Amino acid sequence: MSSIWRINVENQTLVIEEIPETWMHLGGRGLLARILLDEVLPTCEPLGPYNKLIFSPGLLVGHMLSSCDRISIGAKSPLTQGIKESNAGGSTGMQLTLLGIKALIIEGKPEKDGLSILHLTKDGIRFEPAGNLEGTGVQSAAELLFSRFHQRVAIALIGPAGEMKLAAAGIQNLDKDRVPARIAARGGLGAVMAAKGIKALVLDATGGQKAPIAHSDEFRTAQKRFTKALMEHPQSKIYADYGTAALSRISQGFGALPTRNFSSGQFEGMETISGEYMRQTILDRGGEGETTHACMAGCTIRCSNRFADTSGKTIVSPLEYETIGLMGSNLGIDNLDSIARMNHVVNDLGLDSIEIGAALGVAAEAGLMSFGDGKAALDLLEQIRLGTPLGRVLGNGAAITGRVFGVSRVPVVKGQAISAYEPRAIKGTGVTYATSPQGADHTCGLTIRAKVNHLDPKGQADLSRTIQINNAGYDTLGACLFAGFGFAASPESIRDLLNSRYDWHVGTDILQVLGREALKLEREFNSRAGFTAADDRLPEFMKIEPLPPFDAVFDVPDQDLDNIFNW
Amino acid sequence: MIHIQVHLHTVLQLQTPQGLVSKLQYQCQDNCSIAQLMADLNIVYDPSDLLLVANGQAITKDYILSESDEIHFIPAISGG
Repeated sequence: MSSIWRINVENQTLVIEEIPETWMHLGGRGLLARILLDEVLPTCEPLGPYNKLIFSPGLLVGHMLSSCDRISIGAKSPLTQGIKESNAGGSTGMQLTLLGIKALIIEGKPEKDGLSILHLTKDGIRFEPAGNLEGTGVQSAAELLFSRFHQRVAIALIGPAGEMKLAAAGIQNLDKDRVPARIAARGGLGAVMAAKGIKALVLDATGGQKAPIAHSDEFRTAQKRFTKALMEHPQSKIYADYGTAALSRISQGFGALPTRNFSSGQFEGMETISGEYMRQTILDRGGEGETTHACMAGCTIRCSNRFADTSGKTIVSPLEYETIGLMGSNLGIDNLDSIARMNHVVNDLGLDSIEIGAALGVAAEAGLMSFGDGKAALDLLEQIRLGTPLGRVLGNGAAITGRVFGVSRVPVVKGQAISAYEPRAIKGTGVTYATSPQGADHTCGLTIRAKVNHLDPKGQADLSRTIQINNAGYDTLGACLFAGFGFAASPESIRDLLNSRYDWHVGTDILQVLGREALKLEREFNSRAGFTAADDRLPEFMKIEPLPPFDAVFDVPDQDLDNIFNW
Repeated sequence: MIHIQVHLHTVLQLQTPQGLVSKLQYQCQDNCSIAQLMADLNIVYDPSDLLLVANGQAITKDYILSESDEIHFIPAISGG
């Protein structure tokens, strides 16, 4: 039977609680929203004592169901000042479930300065001084933790950026190969973790047990059906061979590839940052490079990769489309090695590559670097590592950078940077960026796959609504969004998996039921935090500045945006 | 005859002795449809399994090509 673990960082105590009735049917994003609304004052200071940092595995996590072991991490965001859920693959979700933890709630504020390692086992918790881990990059910190504990632990940790409490700091998690590169990136949760005085959570599930399954045979049958649907879906093979980087050419085709601080939707250097070029480069270089890689044990999609240099040594794992977009075309950089090196640096600092890529784009517009200059971009990242005033400006994201340097073309919503789908060219995604309670977040409702005219403002709100509901549901399940095409091909699977695991009696609409509940809770939190309809808008420049090559502006009516959650 | 540009994505890219071909300058008959173009290029996919894009907009297999059209054939991928 799982439980709620409540940890107070002021007196370093653990209380294990029964799960409240209203929390029982939730997990992941939905449970985070419920807890935050129930327990956190929405007007609190994000880095203050009343905010809470919560880790919650999704409802399906814990039995190596392919692509369904994600961890949701949440709090009030220091970046958006609203509710924030950020999820990641890797091993944290599975380990929490093995420890019998439905939600880990970290609350209070430490009495003393300095950071701790918070060690969790089935027997309880222990705080240890972080010692020589303070100020250490994520990779080195993970190695130190392996030698301090052992190789089989899961780790969620912050880098120097989190320690500096920068609003673009995330929380890194280990992938199945123990590389700390699965980041819960968006919204500054790394800063919240530092405010709680924690450098790393070390999860040791030795002696732990898999979560019980109420009806094992039915669960296995549903699991097999879902896995088969996922493996047979044509998208799985594309993702395995090309990863998310295949989106470079697709976005280019729609005029939606952010280029030079969102000033154009096509990039003349796209070819050498495309998924096809990346795949060939990895194959040609050999060595440690891998075109396909799983971040979670048991995942059959394996969309991740390992990008190596010319000698075959790993530069970064993975190299994903969002980073290629925001640190590539958005900076006018057409070289995968440059992008990979920047990615390695932000990973080690524990930073959101989308937010930092957008901040660098704004910085380039302000004249701090030239577009296309990879070395200059790396030099600016070094400023962040050094914690200089300039570095701290950049590390707090695109909105702050734009404010400090007087730039008006700043691609943010609710203070969070827009990701690598230009909303003027993919208007349904623009609706998601504008209206999602999470701020500009493509994972909340990406519409590029829909067979619609993305340039026509009509119908985009309806499309975004449907996908936002579904994706909030997947986030509550702990499912990778790419598992969605397996579930779409086998629609009864979610119902059957939940009913057999928990002895529930839900219907085939359970995904949407969970999604709507999560969104409703999130919107309520944000409303109480002071958000209004005025916050559900794209930046002004996107309404008035035509985007080449198709001269698109964002012209979805405000009324459509305001009615999107009226279902 | 009309002249168009064709972009091939991921698994549709053509393997040639010079490497993978992702972009073609192509000449086709007047009133040629996307379905016909797919047949001419030996793209053996069901059109419903592809995202078909012309000049930045999603189209169907019945779309009739025009001079200077820029066409993308995109196998299934949902995002990243």
